[in-house]
Amino acid sequence: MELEKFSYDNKVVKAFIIATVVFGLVGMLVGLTAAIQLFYPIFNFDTQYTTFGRIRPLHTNAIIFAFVGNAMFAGVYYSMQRLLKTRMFSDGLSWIHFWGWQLIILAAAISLPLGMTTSKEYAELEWPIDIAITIIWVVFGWNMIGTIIKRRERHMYVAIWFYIATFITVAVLHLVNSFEIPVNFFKSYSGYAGVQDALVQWWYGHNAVAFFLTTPYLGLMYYFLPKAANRPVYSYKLSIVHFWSLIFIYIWAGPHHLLYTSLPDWAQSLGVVFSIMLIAPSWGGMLNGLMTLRGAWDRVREEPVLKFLVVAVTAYGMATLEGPLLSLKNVNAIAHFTDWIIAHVHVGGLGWNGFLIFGMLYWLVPRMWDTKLFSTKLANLHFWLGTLGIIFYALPMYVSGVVQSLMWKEFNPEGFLVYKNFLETTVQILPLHMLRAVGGSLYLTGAIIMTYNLIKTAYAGNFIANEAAEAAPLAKEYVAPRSGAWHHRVLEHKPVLFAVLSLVVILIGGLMEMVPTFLIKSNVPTISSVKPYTPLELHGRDIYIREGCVNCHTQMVRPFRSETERYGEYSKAGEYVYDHPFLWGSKRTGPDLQRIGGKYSNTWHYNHMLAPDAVSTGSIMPPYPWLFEQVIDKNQTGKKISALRKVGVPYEEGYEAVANEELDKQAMVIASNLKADGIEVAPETEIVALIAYLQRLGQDIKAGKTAEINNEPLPGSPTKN
Amino acid sequence: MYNNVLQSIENIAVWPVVSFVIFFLFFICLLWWVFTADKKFIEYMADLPLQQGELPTEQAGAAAQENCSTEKKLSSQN
Repeated sequence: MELEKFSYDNKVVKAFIIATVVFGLVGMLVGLTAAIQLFYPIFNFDTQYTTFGRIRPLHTNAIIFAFVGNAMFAGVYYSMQRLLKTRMFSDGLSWIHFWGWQLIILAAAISLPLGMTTSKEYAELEWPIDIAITIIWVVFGWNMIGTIIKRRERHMYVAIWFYIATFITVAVLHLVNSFEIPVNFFKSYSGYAGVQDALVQWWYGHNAVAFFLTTPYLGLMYYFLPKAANRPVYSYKLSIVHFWSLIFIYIWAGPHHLLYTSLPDWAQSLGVVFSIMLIAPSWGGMLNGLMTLRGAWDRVREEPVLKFLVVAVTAYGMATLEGPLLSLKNVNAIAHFTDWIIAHVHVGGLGWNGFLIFGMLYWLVPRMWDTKLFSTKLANLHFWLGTLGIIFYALPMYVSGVVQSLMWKEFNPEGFLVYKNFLETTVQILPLHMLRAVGGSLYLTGAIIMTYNLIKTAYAGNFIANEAAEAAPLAKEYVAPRSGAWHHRVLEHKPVLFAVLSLVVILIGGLMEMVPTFLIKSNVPTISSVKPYTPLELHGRDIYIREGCVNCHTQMVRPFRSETERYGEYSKAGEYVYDHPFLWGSKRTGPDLQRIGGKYSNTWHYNHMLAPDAVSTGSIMPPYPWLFEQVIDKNQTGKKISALRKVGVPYEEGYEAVANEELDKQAMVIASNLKADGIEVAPETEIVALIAYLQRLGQDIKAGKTAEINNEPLPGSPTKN
Repeated sequence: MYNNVLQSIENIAVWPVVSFVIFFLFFICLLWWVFTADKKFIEYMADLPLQQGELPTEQAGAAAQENCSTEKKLSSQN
């Protein structure tokens, strides 16, 4: 058959590589800033835009979607063309994808510091950006499926399977989790409430790790590791089993993020079982990667690319063993809400994703620029700085997590908490937070050295924008060989069918968890005393969301004696039925706040928000002086009420008209209460709304108890289910 | 809204059983296929990333141009 001449598009790969390096450095720098703020809070430069609550999501989004995302696209565009022996389907789509993605990142970089956030982890971006993500993701998928259809290689290598599953699953996750009702262009409320919102969010959050940080990178591993080692993958059969079992099992494991919470117990158990099962495919994949180097281990000593890849695959193995172990309820009881989880995600992030990206870049840049790497020595230096960085990051965080957790749970012989004041447990771990920042600095230094090395390499070479290639086109009439034929016919020759099958595989797990939680009323028993938020509290809650308080404070008292003793009654599912979005949080840098209402006076909250360190000596919470100057936008009150009614909060029809009146009344009460303590404050300032919200937290259940004792109906309770 | 949609599905309880059966059969077939797959085909698949004939990094510079011609030779031999 006559060979066709064509070329591979390296230009778009180059663009994604540049974006990877730039956003990698930015994302790490933001992370380091956040890390420093956790022992030196004033490192927020005293502006609201750079406080921890706002830049923590900036860091996670920059790393996940800008650094890891751009690197994924670079690797996918490079490997896919070569594996399928064709140029990408459309250069136009490639560039729309590239620029669209960068604009989304820009929008995130602006909106997150401004406090525009949905507060759902790794899905913080507001609804207009969500729509943009959907469009650009479809462009990526269209380009990918188009490329597969016009391929010159009949069989789809396993890496391509991983790319298809990534596209399909991320699309589903994003669409389902982003179901939100807009209040205005910059603000929306989640369509789900409380427990259901939590389940959807952690189904998303867990699978964002699975299908954004793992499956595409496994595809890249299956391409670049054999390339760098110059030998085929250890077992292709294992890679097939790896793929199907991984995408099937991963999707079920989300509820392990919600152990001991108000999520129904059966859903928690389901999450645990599937998490343990995940060890098998994950380790199968890791061993497949490492065994690919059989007989080539001597080269690992000299070849920086292989060094990075070996540590990456090892980190994948460590993180995927640790993850299932952390999902055991007994381990989770100690680790959850502590720095242990931060250590765990950074073994994955810095080790698996980071090192695989570095290895890939050191391999790609010299080839695409037709030259040798500028300095192997510098690459080796980067490797050691990076490795030490991971160790100096992870170890202190493990120690910190265990220390803090044990302190939270320690009782004296009389049966009282030894460390009644939460702050004591925070102060104890500050030196470990400092060490973590050292680890982060080492890692960042390594990345800066890599940037220099890659730039020098590129300058020394000549960029091959279009790499010439030749291959025979596919025969129109194809008769599959007898052995294994049905498999080829059914799957590999039909990329669209393959995509649909992947979709079915991942949908089943999600549906099995969500349908019953949404359907069966007994999963979320209602509590009659739980009422919707008042207009002022609603404004306060939105300030709580804007400032990212959820990044450090949970609203979930787990049913442990150590927690009920410290915070009060454990949390019930019915308490959250009007929480759009839920604000359970995933980390306790500060204490839980679900029962904070009524615990302190308004004056205490006022002073505490103004100068936390003056009220609680040694506190690492930053001051929030702008809340005392900025006023709430009362024009939004009605819109907020309407939006919430649409998603099921039972505000009476026409309540919008009187909402601001009620708001003013409640604000006046707080302002005059503060005045009695000698504090003059305008009732419309944000601090008043925030105090109203904080004072409301946990009050409904107490009100219910009082009413029960007095056998009185509750005033103004909206519905009795 | 979604509650009503879901509640109106008839015999929803049978779905989990059906899904289990589908997956059980799927994985049995998968394993059966994997264990009985043609060895040559598996070797061919495993070799796909290496078909371009690229060399390890340290030799990349000198070999990059060669690669192109090697590829052409390989392709024409096929």
